[in-house]
Amino acid sequence: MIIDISNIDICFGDDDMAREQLKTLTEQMYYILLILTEHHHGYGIMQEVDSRTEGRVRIGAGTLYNLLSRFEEEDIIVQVSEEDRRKIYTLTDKGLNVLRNEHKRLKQLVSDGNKILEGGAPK
Amino acid sequence: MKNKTKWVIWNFFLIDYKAMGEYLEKMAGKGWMLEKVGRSMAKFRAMEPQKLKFYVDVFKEGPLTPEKTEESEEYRKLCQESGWIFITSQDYLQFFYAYEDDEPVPIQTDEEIEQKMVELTLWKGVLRDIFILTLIAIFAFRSLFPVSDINFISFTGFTGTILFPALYILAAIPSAYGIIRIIKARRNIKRGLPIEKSTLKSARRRVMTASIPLWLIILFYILSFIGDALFKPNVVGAALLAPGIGFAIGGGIRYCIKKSKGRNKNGEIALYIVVIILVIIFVPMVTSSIREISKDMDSIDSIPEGYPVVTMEDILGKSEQGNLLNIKFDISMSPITPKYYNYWEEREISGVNKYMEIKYYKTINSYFAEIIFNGITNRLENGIKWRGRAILKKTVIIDDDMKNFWNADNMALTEEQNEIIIQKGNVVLHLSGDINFNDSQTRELMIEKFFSDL
Repeated sequence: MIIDISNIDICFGDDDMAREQLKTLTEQMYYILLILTEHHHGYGIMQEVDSRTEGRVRIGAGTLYNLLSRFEEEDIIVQVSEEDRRKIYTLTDKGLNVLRNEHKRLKQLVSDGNKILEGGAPK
Repeated sequence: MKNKTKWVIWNFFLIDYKAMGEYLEKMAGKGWMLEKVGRSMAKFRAMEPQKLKFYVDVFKEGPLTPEKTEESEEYRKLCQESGWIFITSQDYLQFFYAYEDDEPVPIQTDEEIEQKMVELTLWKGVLRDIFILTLIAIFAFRSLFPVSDINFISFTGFTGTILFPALYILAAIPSAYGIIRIIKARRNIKRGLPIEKSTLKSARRRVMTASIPLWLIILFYILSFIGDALFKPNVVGAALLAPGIGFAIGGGIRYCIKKSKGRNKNGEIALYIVVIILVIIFVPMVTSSIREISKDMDSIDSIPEGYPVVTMEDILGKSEQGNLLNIKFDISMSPITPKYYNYWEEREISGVNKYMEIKYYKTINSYFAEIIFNGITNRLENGIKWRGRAILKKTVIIDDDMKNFWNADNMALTEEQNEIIIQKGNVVLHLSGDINFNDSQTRELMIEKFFSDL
């Protein structure tokens, strides 16, 4: 599976680095944001993604750590509390918008696919 | 078996971090578990041979951040929860293992994000290496080049002149190779191709290619030090002061950072400033002290055999020789200059202190003798640099009449006529002091003593 993240500029620290607005999410990004519509800590996110996708999408700890750092810097998620030295995150309004836009885009993709692959496509 | 440990050479390039995991799996299969990784060595502890999985990951915090920070602890906890047990860290690398049956999710599951992290840390490493190598190069190249007589009168000087550029290039190879791999990886990502992964075999080949010449050069340096120590133990001891102080400062600062609990974001910049200040203060101090010690020749009662020396007594004759105040004699050699000495004599003649100094260089051929000749004359012309200004500059005259008079290949003398440099064949003679170089008897004596066998 090839996931296109070529239009996403990942940065891990320097606040003054130019950041490009997230336009297209990778599958892993999408599921992280989806899970963070509720409060979760890092490991909880990994478990939830694994469970909801029945093991199809698995996120490594390093990848998750990097993405959470990035999302937090971009104000897409926010830390709401800390329990047992675990940071609990949730989506911000901006993050919810990003997720909704992606959901809309994916629905559009499916709809366009349906038209062509399942009949109804104009010739 | 419980306490049995062993150290192995660990010279993997940072970019070959994937191959390190492969290597650690093999070691675990042989009954050796990783305990600690240093810059060039790794420590293993004996255990029952077992099949373990290892994961070496690149983390954003490097050598100039404490071992345990809030961020690194959070990252390691996340890895631990997903089934990876933390072992140790080294610079930007984090080492984990897991039992084979556990089948944990790999720590990195997004190749592009991983690649970005590798690039970021590698660039930090490259910039750090460039900074350190540039500092070393400024001081080393300034003292070694342009090549002069000083480079060829000791084993260390010779080794440094010939091998330091090679050592410098070898030290830069891992960074240069890392940059090439980054460029290739970027190109592959753009083309939708998989990123090249290092195999243990290729990583080992790289380590061997870079390490063997590096260790050979280090061996040459050690042998050179030993060779010089036979002639001048005090100078060699002083010369070791510089790297000794360097290692002590660097190691001390690094230890403090690694063991500190908090993380100051401006710590790295502050540290670089501290290092620059220390280098600026200590290097000139050490260099000047080495020079002072180098000048400190041994006082002697008699001249060793096999060294052609003309004394003031020979030149002046017994009636005018006055009272001897001091004689100093210093010898050295290198593969280029098998015979070198510096003779210094001071006498009180008719109530006036007079001196004479002879520097004698016998090289393996006239080519190197000419380099030494040019080195001495350039040094006299350029003087000594002090506080950004050249002092003690001398006007050097190339006099053809004097050259013919001395029957020399090359000949130069100072305007004051108190220093003369003569090169004939493979011998260079640098004479200075209260000597009348226009005196034909003195000339005959010198020619007979120093150049008669040419």
